[in-house]
Amino acid sequence: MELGLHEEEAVGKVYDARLIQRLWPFLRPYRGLLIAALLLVPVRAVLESVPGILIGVALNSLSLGAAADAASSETVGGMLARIPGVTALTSPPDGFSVIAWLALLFGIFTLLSLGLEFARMLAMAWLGQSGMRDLRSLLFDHVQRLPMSFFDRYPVGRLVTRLTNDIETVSEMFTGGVVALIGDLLLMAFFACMLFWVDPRLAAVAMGVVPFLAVAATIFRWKVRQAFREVRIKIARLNTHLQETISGMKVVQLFAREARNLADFEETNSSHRDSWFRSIRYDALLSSSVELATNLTIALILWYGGNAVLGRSLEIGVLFVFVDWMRRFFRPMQDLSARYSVMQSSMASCERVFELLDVEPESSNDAPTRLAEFRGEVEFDSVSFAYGEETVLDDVSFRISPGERVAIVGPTGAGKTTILKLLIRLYEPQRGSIRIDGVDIRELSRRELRTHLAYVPQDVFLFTGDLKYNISLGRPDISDAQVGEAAAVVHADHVVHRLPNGYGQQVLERGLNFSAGERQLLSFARALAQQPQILLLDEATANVDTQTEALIQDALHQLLQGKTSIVVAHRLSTIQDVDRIFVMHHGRIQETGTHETLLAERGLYWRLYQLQYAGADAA
Amino acid sequence: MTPITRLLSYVRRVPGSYALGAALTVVYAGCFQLVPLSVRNLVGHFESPESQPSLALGALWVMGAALLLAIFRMASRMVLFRTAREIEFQLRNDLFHHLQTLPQSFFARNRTGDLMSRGVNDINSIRLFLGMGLMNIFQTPVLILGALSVMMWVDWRLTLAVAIPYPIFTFVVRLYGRRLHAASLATQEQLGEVSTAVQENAAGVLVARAYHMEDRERERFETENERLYRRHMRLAIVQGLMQPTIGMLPAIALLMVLLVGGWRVEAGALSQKDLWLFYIYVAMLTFPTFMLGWVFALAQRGLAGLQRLGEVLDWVPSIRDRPDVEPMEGVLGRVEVENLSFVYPDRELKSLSGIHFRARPGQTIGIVGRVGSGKSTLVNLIPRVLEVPDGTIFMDGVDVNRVPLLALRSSIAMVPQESFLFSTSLGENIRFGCPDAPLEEVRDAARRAHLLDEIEDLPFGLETPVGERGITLSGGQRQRVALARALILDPAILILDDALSSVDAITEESILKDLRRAREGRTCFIVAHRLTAVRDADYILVLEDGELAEEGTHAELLRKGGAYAELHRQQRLEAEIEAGD
Repeated sequence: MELGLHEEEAVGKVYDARLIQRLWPFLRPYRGLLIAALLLVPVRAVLESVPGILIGVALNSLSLGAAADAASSETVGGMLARIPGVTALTSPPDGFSVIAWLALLFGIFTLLSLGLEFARMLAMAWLGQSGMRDLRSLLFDHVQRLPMSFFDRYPVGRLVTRLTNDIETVSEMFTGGVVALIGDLLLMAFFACMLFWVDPRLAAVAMGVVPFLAVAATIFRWKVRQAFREVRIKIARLNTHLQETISGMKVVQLFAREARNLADFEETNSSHRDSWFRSIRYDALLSSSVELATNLTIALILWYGGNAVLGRSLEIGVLFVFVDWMRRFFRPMQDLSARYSVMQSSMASCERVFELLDVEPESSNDAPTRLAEFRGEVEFDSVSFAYGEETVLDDVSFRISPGERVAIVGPTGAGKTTILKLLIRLYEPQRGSIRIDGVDIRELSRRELRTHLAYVPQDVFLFTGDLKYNISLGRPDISDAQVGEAAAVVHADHVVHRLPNGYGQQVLERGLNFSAGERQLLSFARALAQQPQILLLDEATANVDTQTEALIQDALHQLLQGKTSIVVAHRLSTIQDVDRIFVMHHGRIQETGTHETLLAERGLYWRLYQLQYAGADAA
Repeated sequence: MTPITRLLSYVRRVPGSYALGAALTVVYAGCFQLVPLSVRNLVGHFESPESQPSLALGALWVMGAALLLAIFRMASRMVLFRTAREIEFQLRNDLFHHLQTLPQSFFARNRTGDLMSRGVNDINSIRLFLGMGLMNIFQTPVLILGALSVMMWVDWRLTLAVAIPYPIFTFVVRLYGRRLHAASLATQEQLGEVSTAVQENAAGVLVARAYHMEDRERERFETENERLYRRHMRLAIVQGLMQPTIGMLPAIALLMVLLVGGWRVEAGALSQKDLWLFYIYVAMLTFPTFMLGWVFALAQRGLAGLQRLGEVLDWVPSIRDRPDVEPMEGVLGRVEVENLSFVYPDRELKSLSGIHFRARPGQTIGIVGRVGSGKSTLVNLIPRVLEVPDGTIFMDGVDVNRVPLLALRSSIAMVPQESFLFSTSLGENIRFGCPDAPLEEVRDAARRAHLLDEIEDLPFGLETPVGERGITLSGGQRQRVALARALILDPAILILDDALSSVDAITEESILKDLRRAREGRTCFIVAHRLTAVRDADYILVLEDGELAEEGTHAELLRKGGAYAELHRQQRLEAEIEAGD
């Protein structure tokens, strides 16, 4: 698991309009859902207000029932009759007692409101998940277009975190963050208006505690926020320390630093704990004050309202409605800090995702030249390439005619592999140009270039999936027969035949169920199956048993048959197979010729030969 | 240790806190009952018009109850949550402490990511259980029992009507919980598939680009992404159904208050104020009851976290001081190795077999051989980074397994093959083994590692941060920092495990020359690829497949014309090629 701990220190702002703006295009296609969810809020508010009214009416009717047995429905409603529709709704049809009718309505409205709540949650999930699916797709797509140099410095684990956990966290904004917050605020506003509508004076009393709570909540929330920020910084520091100690445990132990290291850790740990203690204090204060405010409000309503009830200017049912609505008014305040923290982490993840989206993709030309007829002539014209500050290729020029086979040899770090990578445009040279059949490869589309070329890297990478997929690479135009043929030519069929499922054999992660030699044969089959006109091969140096070595040597011989080929070679047999040898050293081609002519020169090649092969010959 | 006993052992460390928390919770539960009772009392005054003055008193009662409730709610939360944080603090310290005692073989078997997840996620779930979980386990039953007794006392028939849905719902919620768990597990698994897809795409990017597989990779990813979307939606449906279902519980209870309570009032068996009492109870109990359903999940996760953490905490450190330890302050540097064989755990082949040699203080021992011949294993055994078999390595004549670990390691300084640096400053890294070393010593160590000039060119000098694993430095610089880190200790035994491979040959040469000058009385082990590094050693060991193939001085080994001489010939050729442009 990659935690991206070091970035946690840079916790973003809670709400960032710019981020919301960037997120909007992903939600736009589903804006109907967003509107529906927001429209459902007032409907839900209305439905939520009904149970209080029903019980209020029931209480009115019960107290009237004690005083006079025949009461008209208007008086049952009393002040509550000011709410539109209440009178019509609460008068029981024939055959129903008041209580039974109200209970029936209560049940119906409850079901309606719960159903609506379900619909709202589903709409939000739908919106969020659809938007996130699209964002994830786009991000993956974007990553496919990033230059190779990006992958050299961006750890795979971090990339995975961006596409999985970070996007998951962003999606929480829709289920528990901004939208829920808007819904909460709308609900509170609705209940406040309704209270004033029914009885402004009682409403004023009922709301009496709210300003105090608002002030207290603002202060505590601010304090909680501060403590929370501190906590995040400290937990990041703590986890970094833990991770670093685990990775560098050998050094810690060798230098007998355990005691000091533990003391340092304990110090950070205890300051982390203390930040939490502060946060707990304010959190407990906040949640207790909401509860206190609720109960004080009940007392105020009953006290002030009670006097009115005794003075016969108000019905008891109204008091009940006030109590019930005020409880509903206060409830969202309990969730505020939870919503806040969801939003904060969502925004932080959002920021990281967009940061990745902002990495410049590879350039692509809009109007690529097409090669009319592919001959396979390769030309490097004064090509220089530096990786960072380190020069890898220094003014390299050569020409390879169609059908010619070339081996590149030289000590490690001479720039051999780079020639292959530049040729298929995994990297762009800083100076000079590379031409195929006289056309600069920058004028071709990468796709066209790469259909003509097959590159076999030194480290064989096998995809999870079956063997057939690994050879055809999922190209639908390569038939099973072609896969079999290609495998047979390079002796990969030996590998396949010993497997119980043949070409259907699943490959484990990174091809762990195949030996190094087998993987090489499979990678040859893969290259051959793509029917390239130019073969670029980076020979692996891995040690294999003599039998496999013989197979590989013959496979290579077959593979190079009649194709323009450039091979970074380590095997003597391969070198002897080719038409021409380039000897590279320090980013330049120092010598060219055939095996015999180069040996006769007694230069660099001769010395390399002495070093690498002479001993082996003797053995 | 089972998760429960471990849990109890931690609870026992803070006995007062949990006792106080439990007591506060009980008081809280008591105050809880006061609110509905005082509301009932207040509403009771409405029924007699002449009671207007006592209305104010009744309201004050409610306010008093509310205040008490808030105070105890705050106090019990603070105590219990703080206790949970305290235990989290101790657990994390214990984990850290224990990890530091574990051998390399443990870290080879357990990946950093997995250990981190135990240290972060598992500790988190344990803490949630200890705070939120335990609070509710203490609180809710007391609350409910108290409420039930009061309600029964007022009207047992209505109480039954109101209470019956609760047990049924607990059952329904648990059933749902299982489905929810299954759905969220499926989502998590699919998320794992998506991350595998990304992982593979990035790992195989070279092949994917070379064979223009972008579209096919995209399709593969889309399939997984779409499946994730569908699992998410299924989870959302289960979740979306669960919340309204849970919401039905208080609704049904209120319905009962309305219907059954209404009938009872009509029948004259109950008064209005009793309905208010029931209403307040239902409203106030709703949230704690939900929490009770959630507590099961919390407890499950917390115990699972304890189990996983226990797997680390119960791992017995295999390298530690034994009961038969010899009291020693340090070692002088006489190293004898007798018939040493070593097999890595989980491997069959011996990495070393029958190794035999002696080193006196003041001597330098060179160790050469091909990759995988056992050189590094051999020098890692000396400071006991690996488990040493008894009776094979002796320090000043004492079996190394009986030398106190602290004494042994503080007499040895090693520059390991991989020069791991910590993300502090250059100076802090050099001081790593002696945090209080004065500046002059740090500078001196840097000078001897041929690092001082470069450091002084940096704007922040020794204060320069090196980044994660020393990423801002070059490989050669990292190795020289690691060397300075060892040199500053002025150890009896110095081990360089192929420690200068990224340093250029000329610098290496002059570093070694300085070392030779300053090695008075010190035992030196130099593992090297380049023979120039061991040429001047007093004695050279040549390893081949874990066995001592040849030994002797440089001159002797060259005369012999064996493996060493062949290696020498090759390296001379390499040097010629290097120079030949």
